[in-house]
Amino acid sequence: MTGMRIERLDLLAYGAFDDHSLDLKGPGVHLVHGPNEAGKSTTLSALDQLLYGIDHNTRYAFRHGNRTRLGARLSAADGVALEIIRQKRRKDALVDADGTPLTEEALVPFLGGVDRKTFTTEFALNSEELRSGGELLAAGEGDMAQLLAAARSGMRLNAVLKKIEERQRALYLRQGRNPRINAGLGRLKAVRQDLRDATLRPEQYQDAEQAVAEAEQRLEAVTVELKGRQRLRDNKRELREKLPALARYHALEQQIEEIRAQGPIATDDIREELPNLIKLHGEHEAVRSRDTQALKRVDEQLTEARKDDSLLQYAAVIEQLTRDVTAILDVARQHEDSSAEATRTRARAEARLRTVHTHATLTDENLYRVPPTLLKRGQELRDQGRKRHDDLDHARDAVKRWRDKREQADKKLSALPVLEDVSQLRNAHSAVPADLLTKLVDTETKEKKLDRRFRQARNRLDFPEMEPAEVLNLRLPEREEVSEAENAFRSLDQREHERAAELDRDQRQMAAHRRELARLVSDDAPPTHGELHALRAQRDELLTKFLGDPSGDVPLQEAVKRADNTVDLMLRHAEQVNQRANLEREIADLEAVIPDHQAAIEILLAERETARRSWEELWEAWPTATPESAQASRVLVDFDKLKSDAHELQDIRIDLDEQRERLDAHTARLRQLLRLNDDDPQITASTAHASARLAEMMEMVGGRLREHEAVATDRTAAQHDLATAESELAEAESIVARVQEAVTVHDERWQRFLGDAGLPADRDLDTALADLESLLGVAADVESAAEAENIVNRSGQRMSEFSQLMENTLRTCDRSVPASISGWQQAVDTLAQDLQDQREDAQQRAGLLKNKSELAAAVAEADAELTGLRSRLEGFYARLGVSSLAELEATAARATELREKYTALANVRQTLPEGQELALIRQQAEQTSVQELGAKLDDLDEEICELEASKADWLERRTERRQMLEGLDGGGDAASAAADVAQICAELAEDAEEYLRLETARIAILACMEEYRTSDQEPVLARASEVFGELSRGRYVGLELSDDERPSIRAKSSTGALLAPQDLSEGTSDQLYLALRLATLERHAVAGDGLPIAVDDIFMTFDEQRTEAALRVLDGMADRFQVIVFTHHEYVIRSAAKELPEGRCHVHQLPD
Amino acid sequence: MFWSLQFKIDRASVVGFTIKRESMKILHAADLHIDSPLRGLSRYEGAPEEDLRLATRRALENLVRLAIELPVDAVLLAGDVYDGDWKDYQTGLYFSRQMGILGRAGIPVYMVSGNHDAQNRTMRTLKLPDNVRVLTTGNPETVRNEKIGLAVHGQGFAQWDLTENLAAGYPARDGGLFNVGLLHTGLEGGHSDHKRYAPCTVADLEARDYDYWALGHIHTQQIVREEPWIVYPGNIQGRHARESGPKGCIVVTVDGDLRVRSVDHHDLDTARWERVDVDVTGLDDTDQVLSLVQQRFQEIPEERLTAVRVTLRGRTAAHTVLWREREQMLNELRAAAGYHPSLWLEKLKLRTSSEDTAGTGTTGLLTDLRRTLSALGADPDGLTTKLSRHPLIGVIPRRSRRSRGRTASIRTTRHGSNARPTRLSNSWNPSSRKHGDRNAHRTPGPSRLRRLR
Repeated sequence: MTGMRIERLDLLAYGAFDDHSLDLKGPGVHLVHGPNEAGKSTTLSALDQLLYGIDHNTRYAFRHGNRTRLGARLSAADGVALEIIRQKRRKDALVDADGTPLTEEALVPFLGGVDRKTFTTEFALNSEELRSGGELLAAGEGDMAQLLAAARSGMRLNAVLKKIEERQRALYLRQGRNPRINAGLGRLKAVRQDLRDATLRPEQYQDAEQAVAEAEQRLEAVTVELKGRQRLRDNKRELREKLPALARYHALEQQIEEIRAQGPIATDDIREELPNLIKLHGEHEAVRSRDTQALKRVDEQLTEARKDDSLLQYAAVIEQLTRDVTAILDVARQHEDSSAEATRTRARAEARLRTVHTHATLTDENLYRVPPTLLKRGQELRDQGRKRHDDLDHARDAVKRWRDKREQADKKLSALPVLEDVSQLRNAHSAVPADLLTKLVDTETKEKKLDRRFRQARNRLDFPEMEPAEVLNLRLPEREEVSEAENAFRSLDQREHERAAELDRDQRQMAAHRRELARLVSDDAPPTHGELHALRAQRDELLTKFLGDPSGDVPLQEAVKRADNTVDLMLRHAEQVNQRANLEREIADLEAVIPDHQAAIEILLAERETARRSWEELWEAWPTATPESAQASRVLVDFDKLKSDAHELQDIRIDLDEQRERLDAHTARLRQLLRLNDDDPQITASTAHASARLAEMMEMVGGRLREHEAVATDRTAAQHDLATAESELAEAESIVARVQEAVTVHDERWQRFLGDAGLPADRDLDTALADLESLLGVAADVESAAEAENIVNRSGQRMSEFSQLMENTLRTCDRSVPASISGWQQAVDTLAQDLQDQREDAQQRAGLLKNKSELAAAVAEADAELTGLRSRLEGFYARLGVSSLAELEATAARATELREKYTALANVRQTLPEGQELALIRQQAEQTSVQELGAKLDDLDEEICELEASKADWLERRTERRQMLEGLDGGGDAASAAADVAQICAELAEDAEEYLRLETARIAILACMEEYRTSDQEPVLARASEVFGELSRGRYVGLELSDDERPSIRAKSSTGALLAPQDLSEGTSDQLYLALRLATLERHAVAGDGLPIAVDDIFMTFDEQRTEAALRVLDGMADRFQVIVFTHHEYVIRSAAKELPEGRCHVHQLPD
Repeated sequence: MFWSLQFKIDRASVVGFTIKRESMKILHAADLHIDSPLRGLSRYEGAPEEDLRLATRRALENLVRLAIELPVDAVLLAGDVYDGDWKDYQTGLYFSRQMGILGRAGIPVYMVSGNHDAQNRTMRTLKLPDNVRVLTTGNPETVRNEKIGLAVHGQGFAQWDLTENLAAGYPARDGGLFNVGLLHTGLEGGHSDHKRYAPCTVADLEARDYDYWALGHIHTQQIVREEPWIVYPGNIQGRHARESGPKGCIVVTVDGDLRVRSVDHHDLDTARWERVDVDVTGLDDTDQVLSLVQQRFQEIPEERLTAVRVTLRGRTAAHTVLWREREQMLNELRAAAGYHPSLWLEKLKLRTSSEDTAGTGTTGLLTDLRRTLSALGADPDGLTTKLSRHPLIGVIPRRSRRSRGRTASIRTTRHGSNARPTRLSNSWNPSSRKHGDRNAHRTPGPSRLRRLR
């Protein structure tokens, strides 16, 4: 049992609304009015969101986001009420007025069994739905089942049904080709054909095997026959080829016989040797005659040749003289040069010796024959001596330099000041934190900023000068007290407003009534008794006069009309009288009510004064003027900010003081250590000053510490320099002593060297060495002079030996001896030339003699050969029985010819078979001819050609059939096609599943619709008839059903005609649909599920009268359902105010 | 043959004065269903369809490769090599070639026919290579292979609807050899999904006193018992969403004392079926749902082609939008799957509910519809009758209709997925799965069919 009403709808934070409430408590129709965009649809949407939860994705949270909230007071028919707040969140979305979470179950007593979908579709109606409902009526020709379903479900079932059928058509059509299932079936058919084509039957495989076997057999047979024919053809061809050879063979045999008949035939040896013998005989004859002539020419040359060999016996001596003469002449020149050189060298040696030992001669060999090693020793000693002396000089310089440096370092150290202890000062310096000053400055800046903020906050509240502590001590009213007082004010305002509105309305209504009364009073007066009497007399007269006379009809009718008019006038007046009475009663009522309103307003004003006073008391502690109630919340917020600023300011000031104390302490300590106490003892309060002083102090301490560091560094450096100089000096002195000792040792070794060289002891290093080198030069010169003298002796001896030999030879050969050395060359040359001439003559003679003996031997040999040859030819004559060389040559020629014939015969034999076969072939050749053979071969070629073609054909067929059989290798084409079939079947299954699901849905929906019809048809038709009659203002008196199997609705007009919906006007069909919708809703009331009905501008196609009628119908339902009408049309508001009874029309204006 | 003989001799070693065998490996597989297509996958742009077309063949090739690489001493096939209604003789030729490869590697194959094989008329004339021994169907028989020490007992299906207890008639144990019972059966107790062919009980099998029962027919890998070993290897390639998870074969290692040393599963499948249940409770919109599913896609291993069925569950604010934009959602998920080259989105199932409790009233349209629907649901036969009269039912191929006589639209309960492997033996070696991974390859070579002119 519900009959739920939303007594108050609070748009707390929803869409563009903030805290907007609609009081929907009153009975009758509630009209929510606002221009477009004023939030009408927002408010409408709030209803289901309130009852069933705010959508997660609602579009009305654009402003408040997750704070979006709705509130309401719900009441049920049994008087139970519930305050709820609906929030946009997953958890605790529903709470009661105290914020206690409620479960959705809490709403069940109010909602009954109506779910959100049902509520939003069945309990709400807008103009578009109404129009499409009207259209549905026309289109469906009033099908009752469809209509009832549409009316009950708010249209959707039909749309869903349409969609289902549309999708079904896309999936499958009985005669179609393009829908998915039809297309799939088409593909399936094709693929199944593929599968059938690809499927291999066992018989096909066996056929293929047999076909291969057959081809193989046939091929075998053809091959055998072909081979036989080819053999035969080969035989014939061979015979044809051999025929010419056989003919030649026969001819050769005959020629051989002929040659043998011509005479004797030389044997092979004679035939081969004979040409050679004849050739040799001719050659020997020619050689013999040529050599005999040459022999004669040699003899002549020998007799002419010259003979003188006297010098040949002295040839060896003459050749030696010729060889030596040039060398001896060179020796003679060298002899003279060397004796002059020896004299010159001795003179130079003596002169050099005297430069060292003034009076010495070259005979004093001990003076200059010194060992050459001495010179090297002397050079070493000289170099050593120089180095020792240099070292000594260096060492002495070093000693002097370091002594100077030590003195300088000593002076510098004694000039530096003495160090003092600064450890305390350093500790104090490092104890000052690095960021002390910056922190202080930060804190100070922050303090200033906070102070400024605090002052601004204070000024914003118009407070006098106050310290933060004072502000924190202020005691103000609690927030709850303030909001309570505010609510009280608001409630007063509202009541005042309402009262004033009621007063105003009543006053205006009274004025209107009075105007209406005045109009009624001023209207025409009613007919008097006299007038009535006159009229009646006139009628009677006419009746009497024209009774039965047709000419009297016209005046009689006029009279009747006039009488009727008078009666009408009277009736109207009677109504006016009635109206006037009503108006007067209402005016009297209003006059009684208006003072009540005024009194109530007075009381409200008094209450307001009391509230004002308690408000003032609440703000007693407030340091400035008491704030307005509307401002209170803001003031409290501002004050909270001020308090928090005061807190912060207080805190930062404490920090600041503490930091300043620390700064002062550090400054004092540093001053003490710097011993500055006397100069500036007082502590100043100025932070800037204190900071500057500390900074200055820090700088001084830093300077002091840096100074100390510098002195310490200088002293350390000076001490280090002094120590270095002292140690270096000691080192240098010890080096001087060591070098001095080395110089002494060297001097001793030098004296010893001078003694060894035979030089005086006073010679210095370089002079002594120059002397020594001179002495060594003298010794070398003496040596070279001795060498030259030696050469002179040896050359003299060689010259005398040569002179002796030459003179002896010349005398022996009867030649003259030259007087001087200068004639030697020419004498020797002449002798040698003569010897050469004699030698050449002797050689020529020996050659001629040798030639002569050789020629004589050759002539003798040729004679012997000729004799041998002639005896062999004689032998040949005897063997062959011939007598001449010409005959012999003829036998040889026949032998050669015969031999050629035999060779040709042998060649022919090679191309022919042997033995029995040859005999056979000769026999065959005799029996046939070339022409005959040619014809037979042509026949055979033809046969073979045919057989080969047949063989190739079968070969090809066999290959083909084998390939075909091999192709049946277990391929998967059929399996692939089966996979395709399976795939298409899968697709079909999916589509069919969808189709059947849709079909099931369709069946269910149709069943549902039918069920609606059977259960709702009677009551809904009855109720809809009433409503339709009312809505059409009596033009239609009801609804009836047709007699069809699927009955359809008919509108019954006041004239009794039954009209099908498609014959109704647009407005009327909309009304009919509205009637059905509203009638269907009654079902919910019966079931106790009456939820508020919300209609949104459904009067679009309605004229004013229909609108009024619709409003009346809605008002008629308003006791069972709460009725909320949303509209943006003023005339709807006007119509409602006019048409609905007092107190049953509530207009709620939405803010612009 | 020479080298394989040599190999066997090398494997025997002399211990004391008796020859002791070294270990023996047997590969046990069943339910190959060669060329049975993968069902339920509808084509869409970007789906890796080529790779899925001949998945059962690729799995068989993986089996052959595994047998040669390990190597194994024998291969046992426990029935259903073919699909019963499959008519392409090429499938038989293909199987024969694969067996030929094993033959050239010296590996004997022992097989029995299953109900599907018996049903299949096409393959009756097929000749198999010499290394394949198909056990008789009229009577049980025993095949002895002394060389490797194996005795295989078995009997195939003579007709497809065989309901006799074949196991009861199997021969007695053959002493001194490793005794294997090769049988295609729907073992009693459980497996209501499978029809009861050649029914028998565990006790029947135990009574034979064999060392190992190599069973076939149940497509889920299952070790029924360890003493003696009674094992279903499952099929070698999942073919639809109900055959999810890894698929492959069993390799049994037997030691010199003829005791089972280990029973290892090896993956052979090239494509796999997975279900991805996504809880979308509390998600606000489809974008969030989409990105959550995308995350789940990331978790699916990439190394093997995987067909995924996505089910969304839970209360979500996006419930209504998901249903309304189901097609778009499906397309977006398919596009998302497209980023994973080996992912195929098989189906999107919505099992979500609305967050909106306020919508559950007791009056109004939705309530009425719900009531009407539940009234329809309460009379499934009535609804089925209504729907089956629809012309669509006549034209939709039988393959596209769901099994067990119920139409797609009113299947309200989920078909129980087949029981997962209940238990793994102690010697179960998870790392051996890698083997299957390595073998997985997905590029089917171009297949040709030259038809007879």
